[in-house]
Amino acid sequence: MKLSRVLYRQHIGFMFKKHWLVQGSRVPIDTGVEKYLKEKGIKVEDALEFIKEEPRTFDRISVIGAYEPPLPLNENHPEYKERPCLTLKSTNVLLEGINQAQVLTKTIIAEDQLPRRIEELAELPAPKAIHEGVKKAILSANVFDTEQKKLPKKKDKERPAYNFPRILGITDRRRNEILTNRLIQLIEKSSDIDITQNKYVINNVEHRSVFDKEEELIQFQDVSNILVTSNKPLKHDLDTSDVPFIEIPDLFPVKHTVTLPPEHFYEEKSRYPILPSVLKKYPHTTWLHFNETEVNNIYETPVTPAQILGRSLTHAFTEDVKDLHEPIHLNCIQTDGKRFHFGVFELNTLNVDGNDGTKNIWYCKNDQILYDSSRYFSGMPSLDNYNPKVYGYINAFYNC
Amino acid sequence: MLASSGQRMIPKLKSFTIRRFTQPAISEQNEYTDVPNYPPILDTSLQGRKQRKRETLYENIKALKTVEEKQIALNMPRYYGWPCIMFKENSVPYNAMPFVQYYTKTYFKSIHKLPDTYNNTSTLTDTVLKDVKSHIEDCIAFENIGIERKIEICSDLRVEQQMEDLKTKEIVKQINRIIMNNITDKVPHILSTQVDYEPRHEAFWFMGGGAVPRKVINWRKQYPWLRKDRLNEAFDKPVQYIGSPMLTLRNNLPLRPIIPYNEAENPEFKVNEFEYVPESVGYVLEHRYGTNIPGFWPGDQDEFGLLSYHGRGHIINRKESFGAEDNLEALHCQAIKSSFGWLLAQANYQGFTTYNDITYPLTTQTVITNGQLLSFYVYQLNTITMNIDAVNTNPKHNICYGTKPMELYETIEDGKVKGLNEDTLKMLIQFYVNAPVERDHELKPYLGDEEQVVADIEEDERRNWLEATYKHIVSNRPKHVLMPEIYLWEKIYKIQHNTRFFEAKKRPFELGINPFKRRLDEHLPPYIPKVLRPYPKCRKKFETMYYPKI
Amino acid sequence: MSTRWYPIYQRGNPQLRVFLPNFWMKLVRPLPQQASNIVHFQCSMEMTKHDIKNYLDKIYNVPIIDIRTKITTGRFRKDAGKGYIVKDDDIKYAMVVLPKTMTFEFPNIFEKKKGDLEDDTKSLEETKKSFRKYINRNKDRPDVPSWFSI
Repeated sequence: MKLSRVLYRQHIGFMFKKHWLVQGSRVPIDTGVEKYLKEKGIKVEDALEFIKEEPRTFDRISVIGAYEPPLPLNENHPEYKERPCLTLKSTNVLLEGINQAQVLTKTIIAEDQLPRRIEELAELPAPKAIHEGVKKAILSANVFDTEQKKLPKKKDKERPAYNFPRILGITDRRRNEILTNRLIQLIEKSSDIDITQNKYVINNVEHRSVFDKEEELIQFQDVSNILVTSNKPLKHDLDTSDVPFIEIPDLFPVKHTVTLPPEHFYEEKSRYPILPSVLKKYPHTTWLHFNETEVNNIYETPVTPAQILGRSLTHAFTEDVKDLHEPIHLNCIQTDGKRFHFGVFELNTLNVDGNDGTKNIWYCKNDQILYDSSRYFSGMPSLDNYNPKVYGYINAFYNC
Repeated sequence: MLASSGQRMIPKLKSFTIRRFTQPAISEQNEYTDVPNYPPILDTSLQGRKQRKRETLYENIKALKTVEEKQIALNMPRYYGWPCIMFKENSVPYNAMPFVQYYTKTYFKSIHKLPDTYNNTSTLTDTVLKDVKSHIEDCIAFENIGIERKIEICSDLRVEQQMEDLKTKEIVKQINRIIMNNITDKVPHILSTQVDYEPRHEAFWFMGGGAVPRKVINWRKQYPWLRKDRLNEAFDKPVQYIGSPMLTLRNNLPLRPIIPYNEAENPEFKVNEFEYVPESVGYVLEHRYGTNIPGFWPGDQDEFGLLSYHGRGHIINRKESFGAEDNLEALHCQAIKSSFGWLLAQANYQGFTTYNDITYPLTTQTVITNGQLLSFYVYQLNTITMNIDAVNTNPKHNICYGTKPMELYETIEDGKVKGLNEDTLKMLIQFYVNAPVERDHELKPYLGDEEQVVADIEEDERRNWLEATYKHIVSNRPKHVLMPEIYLWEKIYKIQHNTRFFEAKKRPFELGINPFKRRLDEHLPPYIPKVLRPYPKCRKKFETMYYPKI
Repeated sequence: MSTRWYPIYQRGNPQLRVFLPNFWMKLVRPLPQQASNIVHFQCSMEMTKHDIKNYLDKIYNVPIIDIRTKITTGRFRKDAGKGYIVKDDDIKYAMVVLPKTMTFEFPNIFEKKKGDLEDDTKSLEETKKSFRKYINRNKDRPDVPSWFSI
């Protein structure tokens, strides 16, 4: 038996297709009607004569739709620029981390060094009630918050195809939001009212800075998860003698713009979200969250600690870009909910070309761990190894 | 064979006979009393037996020691969850006030100034008001025109609503920050108060009153014993509240009650019965587990709410035809729903449930705002039982005092706030200054002495199991296996018309089983694979389950 | 009734005016346990909420607050002669919410007048009487057809 017969029985589409082919190649059988009609004197006309005319064509209606469609992202877009802008967004990291950030922002680093006033303030002991409050904040961010959303998939290296049940819990974004907001509330409650009254605390503001470096346009787009602003610019007394600076490294063979994807749709001006008419417009401290699920390398490799530190530096730089008469200072705190990186940025120049001349300075103290672990451990809420020193630094950053 | 078994019988017989003689000696003293002591006469009618069964359930839940076990116990009768009437915080249909009031047993009273209990802090309020005023003006102007924010809009809600709620959220954060920072030194409770942004509030209760749905009546009609006089018999309707305030404050002490507890039985506060089905107002049912969550898991010390801020963006979403008067009622409804929901969840963490009424009143304060208009509500929770045994006999009612929306300021002109309304701001400060106080009675009478939450349980396995099960139930995550369903073809060809009588009857409805009556623990326990069983020999194939016994 | 095919409405076009659309609404008795300001209609399947609102508002001046619609499945029944199962048409219901101050009561269309019941019983009695007469007349002659008489 031919296979096709079985196929026809199983698959009606196949059967129809074959049927059309067969029917299409049929030769009309001469039935003798034409001859008979001619004998009778009846005129026979060719059917093809009747379908000679071209079929009528209709104009196509262009459907506008119920709402204005977004403009296509092409050359005609109003924000399109010929010159690409290399953009670093808050969800991306630099390949070479802190080193690349140094080159991009022309910054030298004072590792493990913070301005003296901050160190002094950080030494001041906080009352016990405050530390209880910090512990409460840590517990509510990690344990007692009732968010139940999908956490990242769990994978076992031994058997990568195995699907574990999806765990629901507090997402990193929510955890960081709760922890940092609680900390800042606590600090403000324990601070003098004169200090708090001269400050604003703002959540989730976006700012961008655009600058030229070696004939390339570079843009940093960043989100400050908490921005503390004050009514006068932040000022640190810094003594730059006898500080062992880490000089700007040579990245060769990597170019300093690696992993900055070029973007054609951008605004040419830097943007700071607070209008100049506002009294408390000067940035004081900016808090940056590191959410593991949101920040990635563009090449899908895991984010390294150096890259996280690089984030702090570029973030602080973004915050700072403004007209420059004298050095501008800015505090920056980055946290992933457990580890805190403190930094103070001194902006001396906006001319970031080359490695010579005035340089910006980044004082930092990295990897301060607030606690070892806080979670439901065997059905019980737990907080291990709380480190009270970190609170001192955060408090100092706010009060300096 | 026979002989040997006979021999074996003898010692057993012996013991039996001996015991027979020794038994009366013990009970001799107790058997006779001077006054005849009859057992209570029980009502043996069907209704009586049913009621007794329910009462044992209430007692069993009351006797459970931990909060989590009680919550699991509420869900024990239903494997697939309850078909709940959904009370969502930010959607109020037209003319919902009578319905919401009856289903939360709340008497609403419109007021112009806060109740008298707030008056004893007026001097403090005035000083705070003077300090705070200019800063509040600044921050309102700043949030409205001083800052450019990136707005993330999601597609499933109206844009205007989302914009308003986002702006309000930021203003509320600023106002809360300014007032809290200012009064920390002046009132002691503020330092230990926790501030939550957008917590998860859920509450679950049973409502015994109201109309019996058409579907139930139709179902009852097919059985003669139900048709006769039990067509309209009341049953418990599960209700679930879900909401998310913008900001809440909570403390480890409860607020003072506004009126004395015995006032709650005042017949003046009686709420009219709502005789119609919830669908006629616009409320719908959803199948889910009942959950009680006041924004934190059991075990957090700050268990009592002080103040919650809610947005009123949903008013924009309402139809214009509803009118201003109904919009005002919608705000009241929102306040009643959210206050009741939050307090009920708090009461559940104190060991009370919808079956076991609270023994003391709880109070909360609610502000509904859009940044410019503020309406203030004070809510006192007096009762949480309204199941079929309590709905008509329980004389207590909850009370909600509420104001109309009041303007915080008039307009913003050239970067300055014009016409700040001091009375409005004063009311808000009064809410903050109202200090919680220690109660002189026991707060958790129905919880264990040592074990109050699952984390207190000594036994490791039981604690872990209960913790995991509780979190699993309250997450309401989708089930791995789909819910049972009668397909339409089955309904047509098997139920409505018996055209497939020759087929084997295998489906639940053919076997007379209602799969939705399945209990939570009616499932096979997790299997322990052989490799994981303890060495050398263990016969235990399945893990132990620790469902509460009710 | 209109059988015209109307062009699709596009943004910016003038408002489409449809004369004599296939729209009808039928007032039905509301289900019990519904609030008294809710009126139930069956309506044509093509009508949207806007159509229903305009229909009631523009033609009958009914103040309308809200409209909820639902489509119910038609009944399944055995065909009378053939015995197979057929399905009736689906029905679109519109629940129209009036202002809460208004109440709607379904009119009693087939109202019984005062004498109606007496008339009915009278005619029933007469029928019974004549039937009894017929039985009486034929009681002596079973198995004889009724037409077999003088």
